[in-house]
Amino acid sequence: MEYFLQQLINGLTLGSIYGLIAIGYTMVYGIIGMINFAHGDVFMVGSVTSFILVLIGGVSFGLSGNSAGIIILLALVLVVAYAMLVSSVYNWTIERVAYRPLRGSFRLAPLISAIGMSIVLQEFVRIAQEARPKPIQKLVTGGYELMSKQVGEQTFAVTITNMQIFIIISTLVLMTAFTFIIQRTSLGRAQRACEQDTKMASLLGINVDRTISITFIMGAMLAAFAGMLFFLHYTETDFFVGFAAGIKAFTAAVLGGIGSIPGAMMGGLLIGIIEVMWSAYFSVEYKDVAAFTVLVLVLIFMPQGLLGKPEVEKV
Amino acid sequence: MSAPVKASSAGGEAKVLSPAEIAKDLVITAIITFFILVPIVAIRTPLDQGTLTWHPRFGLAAALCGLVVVGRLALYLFVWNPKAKAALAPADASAPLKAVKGPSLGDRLGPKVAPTLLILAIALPFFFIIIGNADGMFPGWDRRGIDFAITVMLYVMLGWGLNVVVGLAGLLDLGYVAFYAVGAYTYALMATKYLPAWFGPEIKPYAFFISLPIAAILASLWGMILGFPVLRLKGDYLAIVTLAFGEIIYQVLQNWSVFTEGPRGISVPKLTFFGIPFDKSDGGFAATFHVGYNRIVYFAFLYFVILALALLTYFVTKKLRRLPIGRAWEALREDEIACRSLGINTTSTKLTAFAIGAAFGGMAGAFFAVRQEFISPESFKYIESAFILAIVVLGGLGSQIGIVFSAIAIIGATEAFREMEFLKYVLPEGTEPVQFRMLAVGVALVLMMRFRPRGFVTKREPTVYLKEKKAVSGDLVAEGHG
Amino acid sequence: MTRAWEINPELEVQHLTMRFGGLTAIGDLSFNAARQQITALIGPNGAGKTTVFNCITGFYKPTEGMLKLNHEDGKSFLLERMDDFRVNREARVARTFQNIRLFTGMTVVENLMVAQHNTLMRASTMTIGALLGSRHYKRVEADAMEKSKYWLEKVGLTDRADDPAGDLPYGAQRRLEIARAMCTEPRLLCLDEPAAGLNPRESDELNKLLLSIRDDHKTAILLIEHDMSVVMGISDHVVVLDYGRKIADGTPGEVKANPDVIRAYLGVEDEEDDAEGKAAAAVVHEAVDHTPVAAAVLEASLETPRVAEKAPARKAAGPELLKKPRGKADDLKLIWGVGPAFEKLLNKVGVWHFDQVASWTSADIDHVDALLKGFHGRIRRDDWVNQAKKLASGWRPDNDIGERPATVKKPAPKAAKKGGRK
Ligand SMILES: Nc1ncnc2c1ncn2[C@@H]1O[C@H](COP(=O)(O)OP(=O)(O)O)[C@@H](O)[C@H]1O
Ligand SMILES: [Mg+2]
Repeated sequence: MEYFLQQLINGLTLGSIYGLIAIGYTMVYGIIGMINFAHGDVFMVGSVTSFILVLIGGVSFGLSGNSAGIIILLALVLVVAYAMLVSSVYNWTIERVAYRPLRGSFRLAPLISAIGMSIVLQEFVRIAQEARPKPIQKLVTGGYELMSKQVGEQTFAVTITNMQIFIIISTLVLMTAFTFIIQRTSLGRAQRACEQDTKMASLLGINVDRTISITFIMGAMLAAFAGMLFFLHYTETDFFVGFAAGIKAFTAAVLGGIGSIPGAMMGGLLIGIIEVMWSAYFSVEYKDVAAFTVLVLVLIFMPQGLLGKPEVEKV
Repeated sequence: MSAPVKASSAGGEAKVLSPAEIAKDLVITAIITFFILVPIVAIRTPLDQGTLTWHPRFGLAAALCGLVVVGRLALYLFVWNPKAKAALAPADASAPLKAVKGPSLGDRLGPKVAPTLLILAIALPFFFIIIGNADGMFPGWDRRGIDFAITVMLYVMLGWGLNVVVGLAGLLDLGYVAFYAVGAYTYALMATKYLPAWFGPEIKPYAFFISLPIAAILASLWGMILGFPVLRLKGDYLAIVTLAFGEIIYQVLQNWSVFTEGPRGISVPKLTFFGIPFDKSDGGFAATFHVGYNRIVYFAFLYFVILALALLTYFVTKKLRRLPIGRAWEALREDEIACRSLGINTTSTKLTAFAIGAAFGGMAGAFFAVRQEFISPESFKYIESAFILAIVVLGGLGSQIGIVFSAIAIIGATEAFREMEFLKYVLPEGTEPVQFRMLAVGVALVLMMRFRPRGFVTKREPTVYLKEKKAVSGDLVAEGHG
Repeated sequence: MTRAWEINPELEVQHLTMRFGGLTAIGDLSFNAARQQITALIGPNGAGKTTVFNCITGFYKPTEGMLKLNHEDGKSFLLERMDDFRVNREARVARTFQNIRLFTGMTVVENLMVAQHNTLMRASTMTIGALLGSRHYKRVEADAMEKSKYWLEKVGLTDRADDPAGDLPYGAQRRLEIARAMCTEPRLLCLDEPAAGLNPRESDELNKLLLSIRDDHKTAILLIEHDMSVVMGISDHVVVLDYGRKIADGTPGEVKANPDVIRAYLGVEDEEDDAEGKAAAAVVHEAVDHTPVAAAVLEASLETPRVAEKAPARKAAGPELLKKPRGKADDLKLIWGVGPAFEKLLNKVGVWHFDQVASWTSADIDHVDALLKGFHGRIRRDDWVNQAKKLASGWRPDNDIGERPATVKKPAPKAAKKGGRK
């Protein structure tokens, strides 16, 4: 029971990260009906950028796990703000260069272009930053013991680390802000209009190009945030983290019902929990296999996902 | 002063920009490039005595940034400029895009191309042997040349195999490497474990030729097992699920050590001349056929084996296209709904495409294993699938001849990166030219989709005709729904 | 009088209902299609005709109802339980599509060969036989070629046999699609607006082709068509749909004289914000104008004082109705869902002003609904009352696309647009 609880906490933490990435997939799919294959790599760019900044902070400004809490928080805010900016620029550029010119081209064109873009990003970062994983000291340390139990000689404690609290709370805050934007602002309305019918939206005077760009930027910001959390959580990152995380986040988006933002978050949490539980109770080696299998099963048996609307193929 | 034009991407309508607007655009370009390069390129994070540290690399970043801005300026001046355009293409200045979208070089290839290529392919190893052995001209080129030819031929075969799925049936398969892996491991395990266990060690020299059909059958079986559940999926979903399948196979190879030896890999026996080894022994090839021993003979034989396999792929596919099943594949790519309204079972049609594509992949995999003499999961990563896909896409989806040229071009370029020593002086320290190979492939995919989405050969050859055979222009050919 | 479609029909549609989310595209529809006859399915745009086809051919699984196909030899098929490709392969139902679906990158003759896939596939002994060059396959392939030639001749495309289908002009593409469907040797051929976009000469040729298919090939035809000259000219039986429900069913003559049918057609104009709707409305009007009988009936129905006379008598129970406008009449066309013809009818009934509409209670709506037979709940569906309230208070739709007031739900969600790029 205690073990399960601990895994649940770990799963929720990981799931929050997947959920944040999944939103980017879901929003882009909603608005232009394609999988942004490069989204996982935009997440990676966010992750690597925050790594570099944290490293600079550590080497040149003495930032470490022992610094005062407020300083760490301040540093992280700066880091994530810049990482969001960088990721946004990347995703915006990708859309401009690789997807926008292909609107109206044949069906596979944007998809292949996206695959190309994903390779470009990975290789670009690999060449610029070398392929080695980049480890770093734990920045957010400490935590709370929720309960403990004596098992023979050993005590088993259920703990929640400050890092986990940070991840869960910041995800909640971000999600709330985000839901507000989508539901209450004219920007959100424009996005929803484009989702339903791009042509109609443009007839009604909505600037579709701009709305799509902003969607990509928003997705990138969330992905960058997730990238930083991911790197802080695992205290390591490299050019390849976007690949597996990207597929899993995509799985989350599909599981939640592609096009649905709460669905993406829910799917993310589920995938996080499934992955962690699988590692805890079955085998760590096959955790990715478990997540990918979920993707396949969901697509086959429940293609509309948990919160998505079933779609009848228009003939 | 000529007023440059910026080709608006959305509608293709050209907008004339004033110098001030261009300046503004360049400033924006610079800012965007700044964020792209800082910090990913501008900061290096090397290991220094066991701990990570950082070094600025601002010079490089500034140079790249300058390059992008100057490049864009050049585009404004020379490409997006109506006058420059008129000078470049005086015949149809009114339709500027036509110059890009006209018939490609590939489409001007006559009917004699295929036989010519075949003769060249057969003559190739002899050519390399001659120039390699001609005194002092190209020392070592016999071995290297043939090696290169083997690699190209292997990828041509993989391209042709994937072409059945992606080019003909229009299903975007990103997990093709899984079948390649199944073939490779089939041969490796058959040759090292099962065949000797079942039939005794004498079987070993024949292992490859026994394993080859088994590899094909197992791979196509896997194609069907994997294909059956996912083929109901549409569009992008199919792509990502096949990708996930490819990854699952990779992970299983990596982790199921009892069976696959995991990351340690498996060493596999060399190819034999239908049982006769290529060595200096009495029973060896040289002794049996009374020729002098030369290692190059082995490589030439490898080459002819892969050539034969590739030709098998070529002719089977070519023939299948003219049979109802092949026609159904193409119809499926054109319009799946119409197919179903005509009573075509699209699931089984897709499944056969998957299975046949996989069978060719499996055979190529077995060959890969025997050629490398060693396999490990590392050779079967997603990026390999993407590489093969790039060859098919660049060649022109559905075109067999196009794939030959794109395989030569892509692998040639890869090799060229290796050769380009001079690049080392231009490149930042710590980077090798060869590292840029996949980057170049990625860039090529994006550029191809933008400027020549139909690849090198865009024309489609009809499978049946009443009076005369006319090639179908690529603009009419659909590319499937994923 | 017994009618051909009532005894031993080729197709029986019983209580067919199809819902998309909240939208009922077809509600409890029953009709039959007779053997070797042409049955026309008509109705305004969005009436659900194509949806009926999609249910028959297995592309949509109906929410409720039964679709039974009876072959002459006594075999019956429940189409709603069959996969789409089985409907063609086993029940032998072929179809064409409203937006032509040819294999554009394949040549004309290839299109016809693909249609004979199942015959050829059977002959190819799992492809292996054919791959090894079996004689039997070669013979069957030659026969298939002969059949393709026959149909090419029949639709006049022999000269273009080796051209890509996508290069053909529109009319030829329509004919090719019919030829392709016929190559599957169907017992029932479903044609979705085959005459749309054809010029009169082509339309005439189409009529001949369809009659020949019916008579020479003994094939039943189910025809969706807006072109009344085609419908009235060649069909043996007409079924009229409006908003997913059957409003008339009979011989062309009977249907032409049915006032409900005429109203339904007038209603087409409420689609005017939709380019397709506009075109279709134009087609219908043209058709009605060109068909003397229908035009006469239309005139008659507009002139009949029947409705207007009844209205004052029931004044006490119903809403306020005026013989004449108070001063200048409001432009009722500003209400989304009201076109010029509806406005005329409303005026006849005694409705001239927005405030009149705005004051309607639920009972009043039912009352007016009843007065305007054939409206089938349009007033509620498009929420005329709230629209009129806004209009009465001075609000005007602010662009010429005709933006609807926010309270009005789009009655028919347009197709799922996702991934529809091509
Ligand atoms: N796949 C679908 N999803 C949602 N609504 C649909 C779908 N197909 C048809 N409809 C709706 O059903 C109604 C009837 O459409 P349709 O059968 O195409 O009309 P018709 O062919 O008579 O013009 C329309 O309101 C249409 O929007
Ligand atoms: Mg229709």
